[in-house]
Amino acid sequence: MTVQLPNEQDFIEMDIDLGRFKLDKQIGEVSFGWYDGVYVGIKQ
Amino acid sequence: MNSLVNDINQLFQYAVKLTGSKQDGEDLIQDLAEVVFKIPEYYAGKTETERKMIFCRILKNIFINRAVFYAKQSKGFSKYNPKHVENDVWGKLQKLELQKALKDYECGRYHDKKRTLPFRLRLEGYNVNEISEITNIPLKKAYTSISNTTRFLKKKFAA
Repeated sequence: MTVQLPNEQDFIEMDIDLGRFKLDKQIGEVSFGWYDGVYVGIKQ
Repeated sequence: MNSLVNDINQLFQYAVKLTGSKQDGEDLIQDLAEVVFKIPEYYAGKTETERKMIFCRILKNIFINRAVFYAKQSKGFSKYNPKHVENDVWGKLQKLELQKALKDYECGRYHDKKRTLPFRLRLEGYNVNEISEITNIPLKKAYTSISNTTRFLKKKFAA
């Protein structure tokens, strides 16, 4: 899966391993969960 | 919708606390009811505490969106300066919210969410100049905060 991360000017794309993402909850179109000890939200 | 009716008194108190006026509080509650009515899956199957938390979050988001909307409408966002909108209740309240967040940020009392405030605003589509203006964080510090957070996440995702 590819996610977009913002830098100062625009967005950069990065591949992430969804197997390492542990879903905690889903609110609207954002999935919140743990990724290697960091709590992140991934917007669909 | 029944869930909202059960919590309406507490939510109304919160809305009045946010806006500082009963009338504006009622407007906020009306907007909240509209959102809750349209998207019941936000609170379906949640416990009472979770549901209240969700309603409060939605209420606060509506409040912030309104503050930004009024600030944009009255002065133009790129030139937005909290000093110029002192008579605008929404602009004034937005300023207070941001000042509070900024104070926590500067005093080191910040939660991780507040430390990443510039990054989160960048995700919402604001450019660095606008972020610097809204939060009063110096431009260079805003740049550093965004690039540090991005670098940290890149490292995590690439590992």
